[in-house]
Amino acid sequence: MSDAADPREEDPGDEAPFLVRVRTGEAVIAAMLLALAVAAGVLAGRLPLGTWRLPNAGFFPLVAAVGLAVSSAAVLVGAGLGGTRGGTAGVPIGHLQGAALLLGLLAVAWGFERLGFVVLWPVCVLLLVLLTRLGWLRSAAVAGAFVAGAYLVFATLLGLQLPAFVIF
Amino acid sequence: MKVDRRIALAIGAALMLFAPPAAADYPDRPITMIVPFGAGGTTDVIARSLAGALEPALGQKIVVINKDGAAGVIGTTELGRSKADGYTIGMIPVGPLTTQPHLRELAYSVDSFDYICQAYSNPQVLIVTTDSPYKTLKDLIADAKAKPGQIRYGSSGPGTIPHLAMLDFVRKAGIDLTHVPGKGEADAFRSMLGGTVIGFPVHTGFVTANADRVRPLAIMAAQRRSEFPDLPTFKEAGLDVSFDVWGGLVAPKGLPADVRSKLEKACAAAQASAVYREQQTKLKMPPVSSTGAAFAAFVRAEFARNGNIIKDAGLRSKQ
Amino acid sequence: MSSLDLLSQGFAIALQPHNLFLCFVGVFWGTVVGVLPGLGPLAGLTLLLPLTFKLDANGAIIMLSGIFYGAMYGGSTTSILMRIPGEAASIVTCLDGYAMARQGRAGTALVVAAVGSFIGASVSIVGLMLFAPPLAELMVRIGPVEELALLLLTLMVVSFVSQSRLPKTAAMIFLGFLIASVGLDPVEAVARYTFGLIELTDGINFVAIAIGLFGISEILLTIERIATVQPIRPAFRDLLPRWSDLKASMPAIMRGTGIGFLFGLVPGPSGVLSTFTSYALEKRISGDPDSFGKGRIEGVAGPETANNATTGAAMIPLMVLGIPSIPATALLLSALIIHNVQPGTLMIQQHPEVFWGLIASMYIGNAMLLVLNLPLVGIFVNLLRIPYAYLAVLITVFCVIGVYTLRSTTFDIMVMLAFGAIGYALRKFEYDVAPLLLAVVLGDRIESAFRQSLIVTSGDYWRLATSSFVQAIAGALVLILAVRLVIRALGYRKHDLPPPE
Repeated sequence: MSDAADPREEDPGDEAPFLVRVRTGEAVIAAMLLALAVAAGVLAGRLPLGTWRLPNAGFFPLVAAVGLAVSSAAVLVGAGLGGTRGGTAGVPIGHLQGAALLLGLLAVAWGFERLGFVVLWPVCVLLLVLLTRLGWLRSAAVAGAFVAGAYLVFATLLGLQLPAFVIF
Repeated sequence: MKVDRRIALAIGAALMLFAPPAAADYPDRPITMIVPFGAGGTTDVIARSLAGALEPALGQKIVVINKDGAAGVIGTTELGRSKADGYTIGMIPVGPLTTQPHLRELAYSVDSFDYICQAYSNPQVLIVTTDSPYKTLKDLIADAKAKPGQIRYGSSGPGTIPHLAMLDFVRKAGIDLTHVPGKGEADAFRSMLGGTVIGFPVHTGFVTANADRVRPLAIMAAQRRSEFPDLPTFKEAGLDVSFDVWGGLVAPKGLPADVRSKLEKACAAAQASAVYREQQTKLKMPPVSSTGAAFAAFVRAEFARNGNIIKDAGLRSKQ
Repeated sequence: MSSLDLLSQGFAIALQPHNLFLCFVGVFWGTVVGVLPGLGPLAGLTLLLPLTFKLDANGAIIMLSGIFYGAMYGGSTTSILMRIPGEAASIVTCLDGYAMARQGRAGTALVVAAVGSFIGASVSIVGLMLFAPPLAELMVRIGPVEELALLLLTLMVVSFVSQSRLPKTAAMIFLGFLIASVGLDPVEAVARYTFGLIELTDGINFVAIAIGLFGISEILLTIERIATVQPIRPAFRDLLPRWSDLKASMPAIMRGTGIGFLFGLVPGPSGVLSTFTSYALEKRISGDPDSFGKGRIEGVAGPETANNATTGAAMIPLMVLGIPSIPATALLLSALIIHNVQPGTLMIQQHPEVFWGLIASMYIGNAMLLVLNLPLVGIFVNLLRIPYAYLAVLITVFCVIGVYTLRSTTFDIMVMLAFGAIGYALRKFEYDVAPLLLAVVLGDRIESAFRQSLIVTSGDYWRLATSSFVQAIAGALVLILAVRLVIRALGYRKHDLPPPE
């Protein structure tokens, strides 16, 4: 609900790598949910299920998996019957900036405890380069100041449990 | 060649500077103490209190780090993986040390650690509500025999010490009770006040703080306690049920001998200090003192006993 | 001694200069941690807990509870400005609050949230003072059967909140249940869907999921059209709510207060239940439910008030029975233990000065918060003048720090990242993430209430269905459905149409 960003609006000046129709995307997600439900249901079936009167560990996930399977199948059917609901125009997805952010976060998750807090720096530089017109050098300076400042405030001043700034 | 040798020498000298200092200097930098539960919990409060008393004894700062999660397993695993140089120690309680390795597949076992000293130990008391029909343990056993499986008890969670204690009691008394696990002590207490369960085992401090709503039936200790002279033990009812919630200072296995003895002495000194004693009294923790080999033997005995209970009850997780 | 005497003694304690100062430190610090994305009341309390060892019991509890309700107060700020819910209770505030901020009405949203919070909290403190003991008895009587009924009722309420079609909403709810199943099962401690990872033993961290689904997905959606995103330059007159906004908010605030206090009596995730219910109610009774989620002031006023009214009610089981209902109040307890005040059923009798001092300080602290927060609105709103590119970097770093400090594990950063991507895909194709998040929160409560109920009734579903409390709730449900059917029959179908294309 309430997506402030209406995905269907025009994006001038920004190339969208993929255009996917709402109905198609909806159906793809529903199919993935259905696959997930089947897998989760099989795994739940291997857990002790208990009885109706005294359910065990597998019972609740199995019910959830069946519920997910039924409802996602319903979405799939609905998407098939939906006509042109959602319009034929594509929803742009898979932009470079988003991929950069996700990959950057992956790098942070990997390096936070191995390299130290400083691993946030290159990620911020990359984001600034992609999102602003600062250029590499100024982005590096801005990001450096920001990351160092954040470390000062959160680790040094507030004393949060964070990895050291640089781990050798 | 000559130049190369000089460089090699210089590098060697530089490496010497960074080489780990001989253990004789231990400790020459701050020590990390891992607490495998969240800040503010019992383990954490005691760990911080002991850390404060250890600092003067060791002459170094002790940094307490909370690594909460998976019933203490995450922090304990991390401690097991740390270097055995005495700069990473942990305040590890009974659960992650003696029950979790039996409940599921873990990266550590009871043999992964050196045991420095026991920090606290608090016997469990089986409580019921003040308006409960059960006045003694015998009342409860008699009623349970008349209505097998119909009486429900609570606990702070499946696989916790209160749960194991009740399993042991049920088996030794030859009765059948139904377990309704809660999420922590407070949840179990709410279940008891609301009538969902008849009672649950809990530490002694809880009994004092809720004396107007709680009736202790019997204590799971070898002898009666001075704080509760009128409270009988399970043993007096002919049942050898003895359970404490305890924790202690633990280090990764393979500490250098002198580091180990330094830590043991420091712990004994810290526990004898007036400040620590006073804090323990406030926390309603009876004093304990068991270091080194004695503590290790105690942990092993608990490990074996709890392992048997878990096996008998079929609690081990299949995954 | 009458309550009034005791209260005036409480005020005497709370008004002592050093306690007044501690109260200020607490609410100020609480506001700070509440406003920083990713840091919530729990982190705030943990950080200052060691400081309180040097204080007396009164001072410590006054300061710590100040942090607690200060953070609940500040939690709405990030929801409104950045769409990042600091804790479960401010999820709903993201919906209309953030929409308002994007329209340049952040000032209005923040002011109304502050005023609503003040009113909700004040009323609930009065409730705490007057009715604490009898209410605590009532709360204890809510057993697993009643809890199950209440939780299911709330879940049905979600169908009112959601804007996507029923199968999609249902899919999100069941997906949430599956996510909630990860970890040890609550009765037998059997590991489910953990794939041998100890990080998953406790389940997937809720805050990491919430920040991913709402915060990170929002950044992902916004930065891809960064060229068209204009920084918001709120005009000065937008800082202050218009008269029409205030007029629209007041009834919502009143309803939010009532809902918040009542739900505060329910054990468990009462803040989530009360805020979602308040939102659903506002949406239902407004003439124009479609405008919700697009910046309706009632959608901020009601839930925010309910949230803070719940906070006061959550202190009741804590004070009367020593039963903490959420982790943050559990920390308050341990602070008391350190000061030789054993929380428990005897606490009010044995330490009346602590209880009444706390009540009095809560009155004072809430007034302080209002005075503190209103001028801050200007500063917060001006944060939005920062171009979104910089804001995105800033928020990302804050989220990483906040999520990491929860449990000191990078695993949670991965969780946040994964749910950011999932949230992005779901929102692109009009799946609603709010019911998903709600189901994650309620899932394990529902499961344990369901299984406990069956243990208690020996598997007798008939007894489950015929408990008097369940009947009352079922009656309420039938009534709601009947009203809806009547409305439908009369031809007012407009509200039930899918979102406009």
